[in-house]
Order: sequence, then C-alpha cells, then structure tokens
Amino acid sequence: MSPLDYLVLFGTLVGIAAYGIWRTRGAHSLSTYFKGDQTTRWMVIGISVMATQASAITFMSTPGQGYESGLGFVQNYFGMPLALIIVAAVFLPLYRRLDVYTAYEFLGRRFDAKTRLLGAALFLLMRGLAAGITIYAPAIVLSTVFGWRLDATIVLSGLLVIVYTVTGGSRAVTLTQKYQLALIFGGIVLAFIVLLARLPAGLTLTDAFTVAGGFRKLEAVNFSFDVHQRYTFWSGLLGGLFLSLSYFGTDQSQVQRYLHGASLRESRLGLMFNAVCKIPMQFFILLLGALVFVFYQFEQPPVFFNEVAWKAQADHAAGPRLRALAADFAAVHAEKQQLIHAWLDAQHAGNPPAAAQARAAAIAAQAHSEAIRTETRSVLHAADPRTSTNDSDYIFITFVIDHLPHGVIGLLVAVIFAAALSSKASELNALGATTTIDFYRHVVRRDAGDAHYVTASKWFTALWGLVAVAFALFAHLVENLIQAVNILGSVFYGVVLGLFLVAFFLGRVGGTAVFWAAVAGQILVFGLYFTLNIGYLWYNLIGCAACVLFSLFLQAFIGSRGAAAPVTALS
Amino acid sequence: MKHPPPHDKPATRGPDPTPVADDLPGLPWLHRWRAVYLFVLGCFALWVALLVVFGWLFA
Repeated sequence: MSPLDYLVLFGTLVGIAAYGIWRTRGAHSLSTYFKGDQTTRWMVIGISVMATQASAITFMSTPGQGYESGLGFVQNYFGMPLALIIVAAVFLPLYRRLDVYTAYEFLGRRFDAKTRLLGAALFLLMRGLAAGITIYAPAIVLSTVFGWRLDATIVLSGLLVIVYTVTGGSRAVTLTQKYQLALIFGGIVLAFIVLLARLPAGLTLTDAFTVAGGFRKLEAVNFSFDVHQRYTFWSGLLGGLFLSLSYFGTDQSQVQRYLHGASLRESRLGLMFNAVCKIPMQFFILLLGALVFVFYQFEQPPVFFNEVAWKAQADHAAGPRLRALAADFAAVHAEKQQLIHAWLDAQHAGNPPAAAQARAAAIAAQAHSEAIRTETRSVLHAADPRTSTNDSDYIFITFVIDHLPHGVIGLLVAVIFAAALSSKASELNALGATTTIDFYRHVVRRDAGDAHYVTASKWFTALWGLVAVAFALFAHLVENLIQAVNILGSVFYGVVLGLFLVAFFLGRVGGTAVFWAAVAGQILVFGLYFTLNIGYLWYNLIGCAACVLFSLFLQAFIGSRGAAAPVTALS
Repeated sequence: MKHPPPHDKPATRGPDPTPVADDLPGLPWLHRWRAVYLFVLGCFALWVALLVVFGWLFA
C-alpha cells in the first residue's frame, strides 16, 4: 500500500468514527437510543437493513465463493423475497402496534417471561458468536496487508469497533449506514470496471463468460432434489425462506433497523426494497468472484492465496516441498493458459469439436491445479497444524492488493472496513439492547430511569464486543466465513422462528408448551447437526417444524391452561 | 423518566386495523399492498429465469 492508500484508509476509518461520535453526542432517552426518533423514510430503512446484512464478509468472502464454487451460492437468498413479504405483512404490524423495543418483548406479552428469556437467550448466543466471525473478516485484510499476526489484528480491530459502537446509538447506526452502503456499491462497481479493464487485450466480456461457464462457474440454479448438496433451488427456497424469516422477523439486529420507520408504510417499503434488490446484488458480487477466476486464468495466481501463511512455512523445513509444488502449479497454469487460448481461438473460428477438445483439456488441467493446491494445503497443515488451510477468503483481497492501482486499493480496503463497522454497529447495538431490555430491565432492575438503562446498554454492548473478539480468535478454524455465519444461524434460527410462528398463528398454544417444545426442538437440531449429513439450510425448516409440532403436541396434553392468546396475527 | 415495572401480562386485543392513507403503499400502479407483494414475487421469478438463462447460455 502506498501513502495515498493509507491516507484514504485511515481518513475513512477516522471519519466514520468521528461521525458516529458526533451524531450520538448528548443525552438519549431509552426510546431514541434503541429505536431512533422513528422518522426514518423507507429508502434509509431499506439501506440500513441491507447494510446490516451485508458486512465485510459479504465483500470479501462472497467473491471467494464465486471464484471457487461459482454462482450457486446465490440460491441461498431465494427464500428471502417471500420471507420479507411475510415479515412485512404479519410480523411488522404487530411489532409496531405493541410498540416493543425488542422482538422478544413480544414473546413475553404473548406467552410468558420464560419464553421471552429463552428467545432472547438463543438470539444472544447465536448473534454473539456470529459477531465474532464478522470481526474476524476485516482482521484478515489487515493481517494480509500489513503482515501482522492474525490474533493481534483481531484484538486491535475488535477494540476499535467496540469503541465506535459503544458511542453510537441506534439512530447514528442507521445514519452512517447510508454512506457506508454507498461506499460498498461504489466499491463493487469500481472493482468490476478495473477487473474488466485488466483482462487480457482481445478478451471480450463474452469470452470471459465463456471461460467462466466452461469451468462451471456460472451455474447459478440447481434444481436437484439431492438433500446432500449444499445449495439447490429447493434448499434455497425452503431453507432460505425459514432462514430469512428468522433473520428478518426475529433477529433483533434486523428488527431494530426497521422499527426506526416513520410509519408502517416506510418500514414495509424498506423491507420490499431488500426483497427486490438482494438477489441481483449477491449475483453481481458472486459474478465478480467468477470474473476474478477468469482473470487468474491469464495471470499467474499464488498457489495458496494466504501468502503470509505460505511464506511463513516456506522459510522452514517444508520450504523445499512448498516451492516444488509452487513450481508445478506454475507449469500447469502455463499449460492451461495455452489450452484456454486454443479453446477460445477454436470458438472464434467456428470449430466446435476443436473448442470442445481444448476445453476438456483445460478442465483436466484445472483439476490438476486444484490437486496441487490441495496438496499444498496438506503440506502447510502438516508443517504447522495451527495454519488455516482455508484461503478462499483471501482470494479477492489478494487480487485487490496485487492488481489494482494505488488509491483504489486504499478505497476498497476502506470499503471493507466501512461495511464491517456498519454491520458490527447494528449487531452489537442489538445485543446490548436485548441484554438491557429483556434481561437487565426485566429481571435485575425494573424501576430505574432512562439514563441508567442507556448507560447499562453501553456497558453490555462493550461486554458483547469483548465476547465477539474472544470468539473471533477461533474463527480461523471454520471453512468459509460467510458459510459459518449461515450455518450458525441455521442451527439456532429454526427454533426461534418456531417460537414466533406459534405466537403469531397458534393462539391456543400457551407459554409452557411452547417453551418446552423449543427446548426439545433445539436439542433435536443439535443432535441431527452432529449426526446427519444434509445441507445446513434444512435445519431452519427442521427446527421450526419441530418447535411448532412439539408445542401442539404438548399443548394437547396440558390442556387449555395458560393458553390465552390475545395477540396473534389472526386477532 | 421512570418506567413502570414491565410485566409479561398479555397485551389486550387491539381494534381491527382499518386501512388509512398511511398504511397504503402510495406507489404508482401499486395502490394496494397485495399488488406490491405480487410485484416482488414477479421480480423474484424474473431473477430466477434470468439466472437459468445466463447459466444455460454459457454452459
């Protein structure tokens, strides 16, 4: 990075922190601290919801998915439009009518205290751990860029996020997200333009898509019914529906965003904005990754994208083997490059048999490349078992640092941090709000004033930030960051959604039945997760169905005691 | 400001919501929420179709 890159990077970071502190100066009431002043228009609501979901992980990890697995990950979002319609039509009107601070407050009013605390506890557990993963993402950037130790980077960047978040109330979070998302979109477009400009002379966009398609990177939709495949149309539609319904309908980090709306209309339109825009947005980020793959067919990529980890071992006993593998990798890459040129030349010359032959040879060479990469991972792991063998999250940032012009590098790194701060602020703010409203104010101290609860919330926010940092130190053990967040969500979200669906639609089920049904459902999901080999999105459906069915079953035994349900979506 | 002690007593049943201007989408050609939701589902179907065609074109 040049001085210009550092100037852009630190200028943005300091600017965001200063802006957040400035906008949150002065005293807050409990309502404005947690729900803003409730004058926000639909576009800002929509941006805030999108920015909360699209963290630094989205910008770094998703292109890595596109590079390695193609566009199939976009199916993960197929359930989202329908889920957002359900949230807008059913969940949102009730939240607004009851004027709740947190989604779990609604469970308390509908059922009882223990069910409210269970829902809040599941949220805190799941979101607290996921927050650790999202702190880990920008730390990768820093450790790669500066060559720092990853654990030290996690602690330092985590502390920076905590300081920024604790000073910010919910309104400031929403306001800053507006500019941060603009930066993210600007960054994506800029990266696209520069990437296309850096493709070899004579290679058209159609050629680039042909190469990506030839290596099966553009197969976005898979209608297979095989439940063992991670991403299919059906798992995305059904599992994704339940995951999105849980995330947008019951996760406080999102509920808090759309409760800011000036009216029901503004909140609803903000959600519909996301329902329309999210799939194309994810498609373009994945396509960016697929095009980075094409770029690296004509430019020598590193054999292992986490070059810091590779170099660390290359200087020790494993060095000769690693260097030999890198030389093999370079030789196979040169051969593959010639085959791709032959493939495209045959295509341009209108010779399909020759094109198919060259393409098949290129695919075989790619398989050979992947085998060398796999062996490199094994050597690295054998040399030091603590070395993370996952380098997919390093792909995009490696491309940015090695191939984009100075100034743009600083801007894109700043964009990643802007996204990280934006989503982290929402998450920690929601964790602080839930701990304060659902536990502290509800269980520990019920009669204090606004200032006391606002102060308590800031302390809880800081505490959750530290928990997230501690968890982030172990995040390198997971396969892929964005998948890890979704897997974690899928294990917990289904049961939480079941609680809410029972609350909304099954008026005859009472608190005791739904509480024990949720406990049993969560145990079942844990058991299945460790014993079954199915796509993780299905756990959303299983957890939700188990909670709903168990609660009906238990209620039938208990009878009508405690089943009064004055507030449901059907009331 | 002091808050009354929060209780988890069930909230009372509110009056049936009646459509008021604030609750309408107020978008051109989309005057009812049902129309907005259908529009969103139509966009989803369009995205899926475009993704299938895109993958098929360069398979």
